[in-house]
Amino acid sequence: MSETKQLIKIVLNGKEQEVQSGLSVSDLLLKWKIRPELVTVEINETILQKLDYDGTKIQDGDHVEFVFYMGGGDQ
Amino acid sequence: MITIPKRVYTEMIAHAKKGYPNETCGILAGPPPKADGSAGALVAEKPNVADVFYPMTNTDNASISYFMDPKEQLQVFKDMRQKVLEMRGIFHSHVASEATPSQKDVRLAFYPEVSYLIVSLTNLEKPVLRSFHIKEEKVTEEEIKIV
Repeated sequence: MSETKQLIKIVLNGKEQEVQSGLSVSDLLLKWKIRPELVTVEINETILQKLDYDGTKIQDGDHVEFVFYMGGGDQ
Repeated sequence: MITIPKRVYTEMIAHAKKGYPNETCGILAGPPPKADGSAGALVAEKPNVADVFYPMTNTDNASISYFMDPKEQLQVFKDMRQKVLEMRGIFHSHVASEATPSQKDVRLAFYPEVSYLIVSLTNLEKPVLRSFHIKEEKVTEEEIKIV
């Protein structure tokens, strides 16, 4: 029997979005085709360690922010 | 083309010189396009204007590379949202080479919709500022208009 996933509301980079419940941060990044090694993820004002991406489940009402790394230079 | 007020240009160069001989970095922001009311189309009233400069910390603290502090980045993104601004450019300095994107600059360009501005400080008295779009590792130079 297939499990019906509920939708939850989150605020992603300032915009409200609906996502399936039970997703981890890693699942969300995969869904959005974002390589986890290239972004910083913050949930409810706390920056997550990459090691926690798999184990952190997105909750209803979470404020999620992500930014791509900005770097470079001469060499 | 990216349009930068003289005041913002001055802030960028001052930030780059203050951090010399290390590379420095910053984020440029500007107003979003405004609706012209015709069929919901969006037309930029001031296309690609960057009238706000956020000086950022180079956490590499080095003369050959820069890396922005992710915590500062998040703060700036929230500030831009609060002030209804959009990111227009990512700025950094080269202290010993031309104002052209290095391989590393190209590899680490993850925002194809914004301008990548580089100032060369090989001659501190005559900084050279250039701007590029970098999309899928393809580099295209654009004109800078200082107003």
